Amino acid sequence: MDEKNVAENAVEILLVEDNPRDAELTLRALKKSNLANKVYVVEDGEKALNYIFANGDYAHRNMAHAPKVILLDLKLPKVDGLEVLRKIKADERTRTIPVVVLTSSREERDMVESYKLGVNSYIVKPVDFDKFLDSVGELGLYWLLLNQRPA
Amino acid sequence: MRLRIRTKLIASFMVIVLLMIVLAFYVVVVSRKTLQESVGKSSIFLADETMTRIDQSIYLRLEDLQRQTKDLLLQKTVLGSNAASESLSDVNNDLSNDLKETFIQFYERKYGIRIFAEILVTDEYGATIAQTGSSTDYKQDDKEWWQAARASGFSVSDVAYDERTGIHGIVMGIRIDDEEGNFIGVMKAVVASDDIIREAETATTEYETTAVRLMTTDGRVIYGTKAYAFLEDVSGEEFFEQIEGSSGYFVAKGRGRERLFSYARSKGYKSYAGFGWILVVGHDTREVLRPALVLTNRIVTASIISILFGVLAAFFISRSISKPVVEVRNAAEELARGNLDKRVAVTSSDEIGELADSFNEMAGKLSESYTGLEEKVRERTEELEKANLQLQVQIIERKKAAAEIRKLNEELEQRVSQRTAELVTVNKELEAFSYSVSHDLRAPLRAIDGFSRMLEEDYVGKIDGEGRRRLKVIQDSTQDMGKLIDNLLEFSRMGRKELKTWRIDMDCLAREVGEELRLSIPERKVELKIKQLPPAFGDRAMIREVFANLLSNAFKFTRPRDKALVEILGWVEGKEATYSVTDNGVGFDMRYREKLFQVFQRLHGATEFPGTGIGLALVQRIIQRHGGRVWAESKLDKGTTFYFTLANEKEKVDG
Repeated sequence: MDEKNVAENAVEILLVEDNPRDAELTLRALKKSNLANKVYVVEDGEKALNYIFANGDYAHRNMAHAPKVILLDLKLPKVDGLEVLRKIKADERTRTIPVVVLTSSREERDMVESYKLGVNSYIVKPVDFDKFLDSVGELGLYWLLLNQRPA
Repeated sequence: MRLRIRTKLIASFMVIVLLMIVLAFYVVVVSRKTLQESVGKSSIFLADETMTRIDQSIYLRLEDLQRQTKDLLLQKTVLGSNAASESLSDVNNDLSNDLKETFIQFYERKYGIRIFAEILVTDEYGATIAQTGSSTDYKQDDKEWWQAARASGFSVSDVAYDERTGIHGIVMGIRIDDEEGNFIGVMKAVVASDDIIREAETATTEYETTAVRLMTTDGRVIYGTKAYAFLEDVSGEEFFEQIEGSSGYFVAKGRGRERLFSYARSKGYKSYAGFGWILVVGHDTREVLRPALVLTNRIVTASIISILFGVLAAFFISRSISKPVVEVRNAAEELARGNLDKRVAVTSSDEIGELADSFNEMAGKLSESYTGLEEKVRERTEELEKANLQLQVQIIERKKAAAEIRKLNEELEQRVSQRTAELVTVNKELEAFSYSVSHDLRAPLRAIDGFSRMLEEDYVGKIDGEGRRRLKVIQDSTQDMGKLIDNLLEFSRMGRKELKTWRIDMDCLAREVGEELRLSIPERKVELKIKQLPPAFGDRAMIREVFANLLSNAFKFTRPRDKALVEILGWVEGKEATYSVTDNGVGFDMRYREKLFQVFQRLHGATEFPGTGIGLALVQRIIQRHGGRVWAESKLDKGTTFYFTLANEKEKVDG
């Protein structure tokens, strides 16, 4: 999927999603809102952390070019979503990056835990595709265009 | 203090006798005193009478002398001497002779004793003009008797020894008056004490020990029945000190004995004032009080006899009482020791006899009942032993049973903890399962739906009508599957979720849910009636789910009705509140009511009334978790009523 990704430093949305079908659906939804070309997709927690903190494969990256929003699935290989969230919110440099949990889990436990860690939004992926399109489109617009955050 | 009957009786007799003796001695003392008084008083009377007689006799001599002053010869001689105003040189004249003859000798002859020892006459100047004895003094006017007689008519001097006559006597001076009552001279007479003693001698009594004593006021003896010296001073003697006043009596020592003295003082007679002489009559008390002594002796004797008799009587009476009593007591003691055949042999018919009879009767009954009792005791003992044995057997059995129960209990506990552990594991597995269902089952569904939609969109010209219909079926099925998963998850979550029990305003909650439901399906016109529901205790979120399911069911099954009616009621019975949700919908066949609350059981077609078949199962699970009941009543085509109960008070809810 890397070939589909935009240049690493121009990324506005970091999508952390292990399920390629969900990732495709998400990208399609973002595309419909003309946001798809600014999305970078990683398929596990470890890669997500490396990308954000410019480690490992992403050591060459400039950390200062943080994405405008991170769309985070919870059930991830290697490092799970809540761990990724905790690390982002625990670090001074990354704490201000908005993180939106985009998950299939309706479990209250997950929701409560995410909010405790400082998540900015918690969105349950609808099964209905129309609703899914609406949700993703709206959250993209909101976090990329409407939301203002400190420089 | 414990006293035997005998002692008590003797003591009481002694007390009575003692009282008698005290009484007797009181009588003795009183009688002695009375006797003393009577003798004393009669002796006073005697003394007084004698004394009066003495005074009277003295007065009589005075009278005799006064009469003599009127004698013609005497008058003449005195007047002559006064007229001559010179003394008669010779007193052995006619007058002297006459006086000697007619006066002194006359009395001597008359009484046999010499009463007048000497007569002397003076003129108004005190010169002696006649005398019966020899005279040495010529002038008498310096003498006491002379001056006193001239001044007050006569004078009497107390008894004294007269040196001129050589006798003891009383000197009397008498004034001589003429016929006109003028003082012309004084006559002197010496009266012998014998004359007076003569009168005292008449004082006699019936007593042998009587002694009479006449004394001058200063205590000199004039006369006494016992030997005495004339004018002997006895004022120092014991009895004399007790003489007070005019008369009285007293007991004092005299002559070495106890004597009763009575006395009376001279009171004089007529114009003669008396000398205050004292006449004392004395008796030995032993003699005069002899009757009292005799009485005392008799009483003492009688007392001693009565004491002896009383003691003896008390002894015998007490013996007659205590002996049978002691016998009864001994018998009772023997009875107490166990000799139940012991009887008392008392023949007397008084209370003691009755006591003995009663005792014998009692002993008889005791013996009888004891025999019966022994029998009974033996029987009871046997019964008790038997019962005891049975009880021991039972106890052993009980112990065995208890041990078994304990063992079973332990096993049960072990099993329970085992099961609990298993359940915990299962629960965890279930949790993990539902988590993965929630997460993983949805992802493929989303893909199916999403990709079929993408297919529809991207290949719009290449898919014909039938192809699109089939895509639609895929999409609808995906939707259903999604709902099913959601409901199933909800159902499983309800079973695990912790209850948060609060007081719920059921009325408010029902209205809230009803309103939301109405807003979610604005095309439905349903009349919803909610009639003032009582509050309940429970988890508000869960009870909300109950109302939501029941109301949405009611709305759903009333769809064919032109006038859809849903009514919610509530009432309280005891600690339980019951709520009902009634609709006038299509209803169901009561034959299938068992299936009503089971998961995935549906009584209506999915096309007619869509649903997952989980709603009522969820309702039942929630109500059951609240400790309540839920049931339904229905008539096909008429409508359905769902009932559920909740606690109306806090403590009944335990989660």
